[in-house]
Amino acid sequence: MYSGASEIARQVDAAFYWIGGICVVLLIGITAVMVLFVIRYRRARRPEAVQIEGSLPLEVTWIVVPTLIVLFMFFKGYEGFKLMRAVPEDAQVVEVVGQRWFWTFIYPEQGITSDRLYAPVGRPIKLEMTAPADDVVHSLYLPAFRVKEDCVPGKKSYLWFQPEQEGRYHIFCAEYCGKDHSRMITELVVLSPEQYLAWLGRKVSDRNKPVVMAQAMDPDSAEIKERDGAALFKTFCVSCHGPEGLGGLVENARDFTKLEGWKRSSRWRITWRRSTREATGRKPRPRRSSSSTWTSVWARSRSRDGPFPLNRRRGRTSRTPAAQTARPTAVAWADRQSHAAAARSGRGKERKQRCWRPFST
Amino acid sequence: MDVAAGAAAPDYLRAGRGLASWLTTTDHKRIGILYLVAILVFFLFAVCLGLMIRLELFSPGEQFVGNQGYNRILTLHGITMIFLFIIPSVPAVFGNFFLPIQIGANDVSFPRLNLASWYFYIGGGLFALGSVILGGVDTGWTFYIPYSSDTADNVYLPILAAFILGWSSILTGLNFIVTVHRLRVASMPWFRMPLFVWALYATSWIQILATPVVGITLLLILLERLLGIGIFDPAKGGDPVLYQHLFWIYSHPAVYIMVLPAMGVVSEIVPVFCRKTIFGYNFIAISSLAIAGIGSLVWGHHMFTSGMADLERIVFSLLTFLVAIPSGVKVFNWLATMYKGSIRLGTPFLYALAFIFLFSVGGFTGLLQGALSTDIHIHDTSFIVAHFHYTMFGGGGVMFLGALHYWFPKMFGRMYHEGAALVAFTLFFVGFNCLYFPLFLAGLAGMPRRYADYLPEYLVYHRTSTVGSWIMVAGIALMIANLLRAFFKGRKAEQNPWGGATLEWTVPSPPPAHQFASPPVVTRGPYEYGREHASG
Repeated sequence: MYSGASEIARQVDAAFYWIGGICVVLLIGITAVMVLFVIRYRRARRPEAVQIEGSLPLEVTWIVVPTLIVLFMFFKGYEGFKLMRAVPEDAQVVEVVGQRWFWTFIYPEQGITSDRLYAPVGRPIKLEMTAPADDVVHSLYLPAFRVKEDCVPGKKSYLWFQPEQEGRYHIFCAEYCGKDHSRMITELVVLSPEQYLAWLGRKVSDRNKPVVMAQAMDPDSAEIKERDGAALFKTFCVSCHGPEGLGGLVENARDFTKLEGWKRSSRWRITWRRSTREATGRKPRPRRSSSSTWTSVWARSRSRDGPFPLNRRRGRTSRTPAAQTARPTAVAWADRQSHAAAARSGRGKERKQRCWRPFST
Repeated sequence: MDVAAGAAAPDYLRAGRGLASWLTTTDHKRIGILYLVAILVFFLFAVCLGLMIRLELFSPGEQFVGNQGYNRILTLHGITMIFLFIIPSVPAVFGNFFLPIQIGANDVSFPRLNLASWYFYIGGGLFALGSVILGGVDTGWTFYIPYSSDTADNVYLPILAAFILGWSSILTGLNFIVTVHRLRVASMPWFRMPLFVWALYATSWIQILATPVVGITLLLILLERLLGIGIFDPAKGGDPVLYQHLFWIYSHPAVYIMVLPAMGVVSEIVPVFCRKTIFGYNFIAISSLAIAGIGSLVWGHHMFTSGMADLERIVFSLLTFLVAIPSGVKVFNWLATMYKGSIRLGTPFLYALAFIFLFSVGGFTGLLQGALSTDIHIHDTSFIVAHFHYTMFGGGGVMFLGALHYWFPKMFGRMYHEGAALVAFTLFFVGFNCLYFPLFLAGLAGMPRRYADYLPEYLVYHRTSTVGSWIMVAGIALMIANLLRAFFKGRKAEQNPWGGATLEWTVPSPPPAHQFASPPVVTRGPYEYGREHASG
């Protein structure tokens, strides 16, 4: 197990060693006794068994002793858990939104967002988590810090941790959430306090940097790629196109929700899911399956668009064809880390690469 | 003891001819066989799906089914294994066949209801298979809301399948409870019942008390999808976590439905092969009821990260630890039964030993999951997958195979090749550990579950695991081949090949359609080898 060396991780690991250790000893004991009995009391050696009905003292022993042992284990687990739920006063709050299939980290004080979690070393971070009401349950999992908590639509949950070493750590989605569940991965980047401040500064100035309209209308342009789409939208686009992206606040402001690749994702923000084309280098595929066996054709005719009323989709935004068929954040969270390189070398190569290597530089 | 009812009477296999005589039978033994055939078919089907999962995970990246294909295979594997294999396996096959015989009855209390349960089972199975034809389902076997109310896949069929299978389960449980109460021979008081009957009795209570909850919950999903009633929909003031509570109120006790009957089979096999009375009969019998009781109060440990209140998590964690005690009592009593026994290492006994080992691994790793802080790390990782397979497959599944080897000569009157059975068992056991143990390590290293794809650092665990699946499947294939061969041309089995002392060994192999012409008289406990040797 790798570790980000935090107090929580140490407590949890101690509980692992205590409970696991006791279990291993007991398991070896049980197995050894079993094997020993099979060898010693095999029929060839002992044709006649000694009849023993039972023994009350023994029964009491193996009820009482295991009870004490498991109560000890309960206590060990409880200890670490208490620490996990006791957030220090000075913790920095970062809001987290889990959506199919990407994470958004919001720094409310600075008003910036990021698709990776940045944190300074040594400071406790409290993650306040949720998922949009029209999404599904996700679960933010930071294995290096031994913490995990579900993002439940419409509810709030929290966890905290305190990184003690700089580095990059996996963040997984641990609650099954559909097609790209296994690709809903991002990372925690722990920086030194100076680097972290520099990063914050860059993000804030990026947010405030004016935008050239000609560039903003081309989602593939390098200037736009390097910026945070959500922050950009919130700062600039929103003034004419409105928080819902419906347009019409000034003359000729388009309705973005009619464009492919757009997603109205939460009540807080509109996230521009440009990563689709960026990742695959292709137009989104027309429908969910290109296969045309009779079963799939029939199934399709019965399911989404067919006349069968039970299957008609209920018109949630996440079910719009664009959002469904786009192959969004999918493959490419890895690529996101080197947009420029990807642009230079030509996109599409990454897709063929069988092992994506997220953190190689 | 009563001598078998008329050796001249045709056995139950030959009592009627033709498919119709099977499909309309009300003989509990024939219904047991009907279940056996159907369950084996579904089991092998789900094994193939499991194999596909492992093949997809052989390397990182997309192998051959893709993400959505993987999710659908995973879901179908779960639904088939749980609802169509593990839950009905031991009770429906061996419970139906042997529960009445073991208590000296000629049939269950409601034979026609018993047949109806089988048709419910088949109906549910067809619905589940129907969902494949309609393109598959991607919700996972837990049907978590809001995913299942939101997905584009057709979840009506698998949900209806689970609902109908629930009826089959409830009716079988009801039948067994009434049978145990009403049809036990007069000379068999409660504490002279075989432990297998005790285990089935406890299981049946869970089945009729817990299954309706999941039935209602599944109907709520349908209403949510059809009418948008919003009980689980946060946009309308509902609560997705409520669904998880309702689901696990059934589905946690359900794991005891899966494993208690298996424990009952172990309690039968161990004394017979040690030729020794069982150690602590009363404690084993009562521990079945204790597991059923406490096991109904611990569902929240599936939800330690779901955002429940902290106090709830603490209480559920404490209760979870208590349920370990009666399971431990059983294991210790089985070991004590072996002490100073006269052990014959027959194939069924090997399965029982494998059960004790595998279930102990599963149980001990369960303690790591019951503890709060450790569970938060391993929750929803492949550690859970490994734990679940060690307890359910290593427990319920292994003892289904063990029971099949134990009672095969009684059910079919033929004996399988013991050497081949031993090889098959070894392959199975080695493959099993090779398949599931690496997943513990992957889980500890942070590999989340239900991932169609994984980071390269988890490669070694997944690859070992996939190789293990090949070994295990080879074992299963050999086992099935061996049993099929035995069915057609195995040598004739004696009436009591293992030297058992329970009532089923006093009737011919295979038993006649009407096993007891007059009620047998039970003069001793089911495992009392001391007073009188089992001679049949």
